[in-house]
Amino acid sequence: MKIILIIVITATIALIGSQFTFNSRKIPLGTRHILLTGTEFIFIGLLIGPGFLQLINPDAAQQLHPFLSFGLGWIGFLFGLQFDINKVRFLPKNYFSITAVLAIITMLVVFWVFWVIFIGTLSYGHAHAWVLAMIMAAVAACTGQSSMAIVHRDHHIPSKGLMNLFRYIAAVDALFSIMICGLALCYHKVDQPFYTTAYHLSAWAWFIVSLSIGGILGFVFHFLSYHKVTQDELLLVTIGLVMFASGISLFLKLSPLLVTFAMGFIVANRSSRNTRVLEIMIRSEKSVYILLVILAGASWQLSRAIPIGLAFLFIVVRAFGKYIGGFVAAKMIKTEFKVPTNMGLGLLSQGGVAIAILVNVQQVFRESSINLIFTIIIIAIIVNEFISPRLVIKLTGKE
Amino acid sequence: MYYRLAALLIIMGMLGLLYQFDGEETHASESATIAMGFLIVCAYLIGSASTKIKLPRITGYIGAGLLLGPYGLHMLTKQTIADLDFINQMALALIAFYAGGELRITKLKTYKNTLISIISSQILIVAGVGFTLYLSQGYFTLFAGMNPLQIVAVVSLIGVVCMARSPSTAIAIIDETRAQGRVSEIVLGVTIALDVMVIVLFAITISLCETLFDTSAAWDSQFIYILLTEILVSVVVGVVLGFGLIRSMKHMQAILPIFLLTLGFLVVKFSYSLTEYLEHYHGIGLKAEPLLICISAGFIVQNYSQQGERFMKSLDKVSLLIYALFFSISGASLNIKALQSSWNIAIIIFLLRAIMIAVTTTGGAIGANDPKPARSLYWLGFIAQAGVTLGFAYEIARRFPDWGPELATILVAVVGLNQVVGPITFKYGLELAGETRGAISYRELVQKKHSHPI
Repeated sequence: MKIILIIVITATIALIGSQFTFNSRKIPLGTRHILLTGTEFIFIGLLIGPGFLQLINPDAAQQLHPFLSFGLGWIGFLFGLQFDINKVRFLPKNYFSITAVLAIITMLVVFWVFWVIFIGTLSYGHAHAWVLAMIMAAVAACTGQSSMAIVHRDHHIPSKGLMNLFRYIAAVDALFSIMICGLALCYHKVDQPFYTTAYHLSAWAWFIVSLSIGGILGFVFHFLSYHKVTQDELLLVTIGLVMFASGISLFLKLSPLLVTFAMGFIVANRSSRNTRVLEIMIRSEKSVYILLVILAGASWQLSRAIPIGLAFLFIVVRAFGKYIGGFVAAKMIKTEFKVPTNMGLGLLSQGGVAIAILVNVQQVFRESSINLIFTIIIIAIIVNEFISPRLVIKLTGKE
Repeated sequence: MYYRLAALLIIMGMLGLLYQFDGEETHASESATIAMGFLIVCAYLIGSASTKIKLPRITGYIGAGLLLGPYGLHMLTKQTIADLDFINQMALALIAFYAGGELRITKLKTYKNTLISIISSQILIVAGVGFTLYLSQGYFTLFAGMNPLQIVAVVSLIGVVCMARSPSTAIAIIDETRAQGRVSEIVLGVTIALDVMVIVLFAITISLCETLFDTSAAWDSQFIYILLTEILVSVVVGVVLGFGLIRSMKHMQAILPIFLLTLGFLVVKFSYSLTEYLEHYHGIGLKAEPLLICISAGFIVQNYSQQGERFMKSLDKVSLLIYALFFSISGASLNIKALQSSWNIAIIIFLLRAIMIAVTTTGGAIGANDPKPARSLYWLGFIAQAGVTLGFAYEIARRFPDWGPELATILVAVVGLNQVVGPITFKYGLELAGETRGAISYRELVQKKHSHPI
């Protein structure tokens, strides 16, 4: 019974929180960059978690997995729905190339550094280090949209082209993160002792299975909504299929984010109801996101020795990766406006998909090493959320 | 149609394939997530298909549950159904809010005479069912070894259980058909009033049975006061909640449906916790009745504020999802095996109950001088039975280990029949009354028959 009450309390905080956060409330500069962006709910989660009020203990957190899985599925599906090729193709093609170059280089830099640290300093096994480094890389690549939104809302930006590019990158680069995170979980799956089924597939095969499950369920969605459906029926089908897809992912220890992303992609490109579904999803986006952030905060097991050094290293390496990525992209790809070579530094904001990836990974991982990664990334998200808007303003020409 | 069939086959195939991976380390909660998603999709599909053949959606939901449940294809296990119990609690609270919101004082005043007359006449169901069963006692093994007084007590108990209705089914059918008019209003009013009455009557009858079957037990009339206190306390709490809701609704916009769902669930949980607390720490056997609390709150919002319509619309937004889950879980919980083992007596009680409902309801309506087409249609809305009756059955089995389980099995089978037939008859009744969208009314039907004699 306690678990249900916890869900209800958390959901209520999320619902009420979504009414107040992400809005244009005027609060002092600086605090605005950390409050009203959704990141503040990490602390609420931390407060109700095992470290403080103990409303959510590790057992309860375990029981929350299906709900978290549904939340992840919701986010993945929503993200996939936005990739309607008919709409995306009208956007400048070089934007996608810049995003890809930036994301891939950032991932490579972070992956390499942390792979070395995990093997050399922390003495993790090769396979384990490989998976953890991939996760770090996936989280590093994605850019949060909150700082872009703050800057766009609060400041007059002279360089509209650059601002649009930033917003495009922040919206799209999570694609690479979700893919890499999904692949990392597939590697983790085949590395587990319980992996004893007759279907002994490779990590890449499981990656294809993940995409296929999502793709098939996307077509199921298309079939179910092919004939005339009311808004309520559409909501019913959406909830049912997202839940089904998330449950299957969790059952098979795959990434719900990846599976439902594939589902959303198919719905966006095959179903004539894609716009209506997107409207339904967007309405609940904030609440689901806040719910995830709270639960991520609650799952954060703060140890006495907080890995400040590693967190600082992750922030620096990520910033370096973004810088190099931005530099290469600016040099390689031509745009109709001047792209500064240090544009990567304007894309340091995290949150959103980064938190979703963390929750996703925590669901599947049972090892204590994930707590270390969790702490590093949460600290990095908070720090980046704070400094990022200032850098965006600087790069886009306001200061 | 073919597209939907293909979708159903694909997800069933996926589920079948998934259990090939059973060797992996999994948790019950993961299976529950899959089950819930699967159930929603299947309920939607079968519910939509049932509307094509003019059956209520909820019959489709119940059918989906029956098909996939532990007594059907076993795609949902008993454990999974138990894990999804919180959905039932959430759904019941929502339905109770809805039921309260549907009770409009102005309408109740208009139909006052009919309501009182029908409710009074329905008490005769106990006498009718009881008397018939008493006369035919020789045909049933259930009464073997009981003295005449004990048989009277048991048949009265069966009679009281037969009075129980299903407010959730009535609400779901009215909501689905968007019915508005005399028949829907009166059926709902009577159903809710009887739901409260039947709890009191059951408590009295079961206590009487206990006294007659256990010679050491003495009749303690104090429980009636406790029961009435429970009802009073629940209504008062509901009224306070209703006024609180009116105030807080002003600040809720898009999140109101989820807020109501959460609030209803909290009311259910709080009531159970309070009951446990009072029992455990103070030895007070006082129960807060969550459904009554929610009905009262819904009633207050509808009748004492300007927010009634908004309240109902907000409930509407989540109703399809909740109904699909609630009724499919109900379907999956129906014990078909009980029907197999006691189908003969179950059918007799089912028919007896239906006849008594028809006779007493129509008699009551005639007594209140009700207009002609409606008075012969009300009874069609009173056939369905669900949760409360099952609760009664389990209580009988628990309290009377000698004969209780046998009677409980019969009652569960009767509920199964009523829950399958009841929604269909109610929808049919509303259509004949011309209260549903696009329905041909009874009057039009008669006119049609006269204009085209066969």
